[in-house]
Amino acid sequence: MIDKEVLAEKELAEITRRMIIYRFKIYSATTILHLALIVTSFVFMITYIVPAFSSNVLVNIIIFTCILCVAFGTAILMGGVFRKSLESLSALTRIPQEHRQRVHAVFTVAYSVPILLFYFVPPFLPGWYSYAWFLALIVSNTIVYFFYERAMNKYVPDLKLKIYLTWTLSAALSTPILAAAIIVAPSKAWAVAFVLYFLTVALASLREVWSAERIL
Amino acid sequence: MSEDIYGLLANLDPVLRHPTRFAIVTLLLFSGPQSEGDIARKLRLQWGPLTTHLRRLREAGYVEVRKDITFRGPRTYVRLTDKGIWAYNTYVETLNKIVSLARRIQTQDKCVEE
Repeated sequence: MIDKEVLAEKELAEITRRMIIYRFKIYSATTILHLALIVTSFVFMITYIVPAFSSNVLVNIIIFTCILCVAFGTAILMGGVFRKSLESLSALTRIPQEHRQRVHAVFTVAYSVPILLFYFVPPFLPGWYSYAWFLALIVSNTIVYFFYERAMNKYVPDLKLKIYLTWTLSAALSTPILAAAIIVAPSKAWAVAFVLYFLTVALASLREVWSAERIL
Repeated sequence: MSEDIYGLLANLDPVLRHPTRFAIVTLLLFSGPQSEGDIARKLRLQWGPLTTHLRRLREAGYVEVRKDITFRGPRTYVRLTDKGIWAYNTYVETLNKIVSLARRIQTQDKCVEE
């Protein structure tokens, strides 16, 4: 009844839609995993590897700056790629302009205010400042889940983005491990926090990649 | 009901109704701004037809063309405009309506035959 051309165009449009959603989910997953990898490796490198190379402060500063530049460069590149995928998703699904503008504000507030608040609180646990960021991240991710992820899922129902929800839940569930580390070895609690941070991000990313595979 | 389909088909955007132009807009939507060379390579188009289709899309206000000097020489970049995005989404919505209407008619016909 309808010619093959119309059907082919409809199929192309459908595949494009799926591919854009797939790409957005994959970029969301890889961006946060990449950032977690950068942050974790950076911290462990600075703590354990760099001092082993040289006792000279100037050399250490140079190495530190080089690593920082690479880390920031990669992070900016990942941010750019993620932004591009958000733009094509917004174009395809008619996400309102105000929501797109709100995304920046949500991320800025979510990843600054809770961290600042947690560091303003007088320390009530041993070594508080070395792992308070991990607890603050749970609050940050909850904010991102409520004001970004849920809104995205509302505008694009087949997106089914659950990366921040998974991350928040797994991080919250892993806090007993951190608590145990604080009690047993407070001086090493920071390392446990970083390992937990990386593992929870990896879990959330893998879940998102798995969910993206089901879209195609 | 079949009159509705013909009505919808007649109302389809004539600029996007051409498969090559539809493919160009789809590529720009998926991949963002592209150089003319990249569009030709990705869609396996000759320069002549590509220039004609891009001119038609530009006249309709669906794409913008910008000339840039890059490290590999001058390039002409094509970008989808907001009007182009709107037209693409409307066109796809109409296509979906047409196909779902046609499927409904087919189902009804089968029921009648049975």
